[in-house]
Amino acid sequence: MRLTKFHPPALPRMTTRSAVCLLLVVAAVAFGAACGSATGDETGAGEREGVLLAENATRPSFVLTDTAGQAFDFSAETEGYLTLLYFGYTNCPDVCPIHFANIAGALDQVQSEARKRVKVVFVGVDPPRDSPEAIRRWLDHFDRAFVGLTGTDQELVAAQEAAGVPPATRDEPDADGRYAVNHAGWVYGYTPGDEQTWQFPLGVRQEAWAGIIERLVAGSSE
Amino acid sequence: MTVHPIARGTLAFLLGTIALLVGTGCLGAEGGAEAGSSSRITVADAYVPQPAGDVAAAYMTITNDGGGNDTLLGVRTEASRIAEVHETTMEGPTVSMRAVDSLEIPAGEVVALEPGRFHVMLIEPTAPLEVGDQILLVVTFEEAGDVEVLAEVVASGGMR
Repeated sequence: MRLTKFHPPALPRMTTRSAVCLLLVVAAVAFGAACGSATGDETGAGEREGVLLAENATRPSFVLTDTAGQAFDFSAETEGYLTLLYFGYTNCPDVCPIHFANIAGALDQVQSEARKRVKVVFVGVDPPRDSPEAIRRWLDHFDRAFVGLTGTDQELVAAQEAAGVPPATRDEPDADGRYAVNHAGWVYGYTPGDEQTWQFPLGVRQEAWAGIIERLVAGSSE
Repeated sequence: MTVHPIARGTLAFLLGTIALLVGTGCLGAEGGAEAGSSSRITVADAYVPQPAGDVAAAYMTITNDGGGNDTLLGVRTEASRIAEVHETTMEGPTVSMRAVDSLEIPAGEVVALEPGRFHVMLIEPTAPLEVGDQILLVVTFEEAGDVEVLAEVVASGGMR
């Protein structure tokens, strides 16, 4: 689906004061969007931007198991790559697949040299349903090169804490045994030399992803 | 005319929102109903990104052109074992999802079931959902009754 971009109408000349007021309104809207507040009429699909979270922070260190059953030391295996990290679950119908479709689509657009310097890592935080096979099948829908990780509840909590996100929790199952998982909805990005840590909310469009991936691979956020 | 800057900002935002809604792609077919006298419901732009796993999400735009409020009560389909209306919420970094029993469709308003907000969760599709498939959804409203809409399965291209 294509959404028409929103171009605000040209504003008439403003006084400095009204310009400042308007700027505050715009900033408030942008802040609300960036923070993903669910209040009021906010739409999840609004266009949003990545947020620079930290500079010169070391990427998280944790060890989980990949979909081939091998130990995967996150900081060692992803060192030197622009790394996109996401904690989700394969029974997630909305936010997770949208993020991954965006990233996969964006990677198809970037230069192949840049593509080689990107690793995308999905951590399945719902072990009862996120078997290595289920994770592999889910990721292959988007890109066979994406890394899928799993672990015990304890290992998964450690990984999420290392990444600075609140550990995922599972809702009580309904009569049918189905349940939703509450998990971090942002994608985290670590530049190749750990110069910058980025956070990407839902709403970063595929085009924007492609641009930011190329910039961050090149080591610049300009 | 003097327009307070905040009002002006809100106006621009509203205009943008309307443009966004009007500009939303025209996938799938459109269904309407006029059972009640006060509610006039149209369901349009229904689509289902091809799912990666055992669950899919259907998105659509619901318009109430009538003078009275209406309420979405549920969705039925033969395309999946269960269909539920879900709301996605974000609190800090944490994203959660819950089933909603009903969803208000106020008079004169457009309610978008869109990524990160509302969707119809299709649990355990009865057959593989292939790109190009059209699946029939029956959306039930308190006033307008059943409204049928065809949702097209699209490649999961994310948000462009």
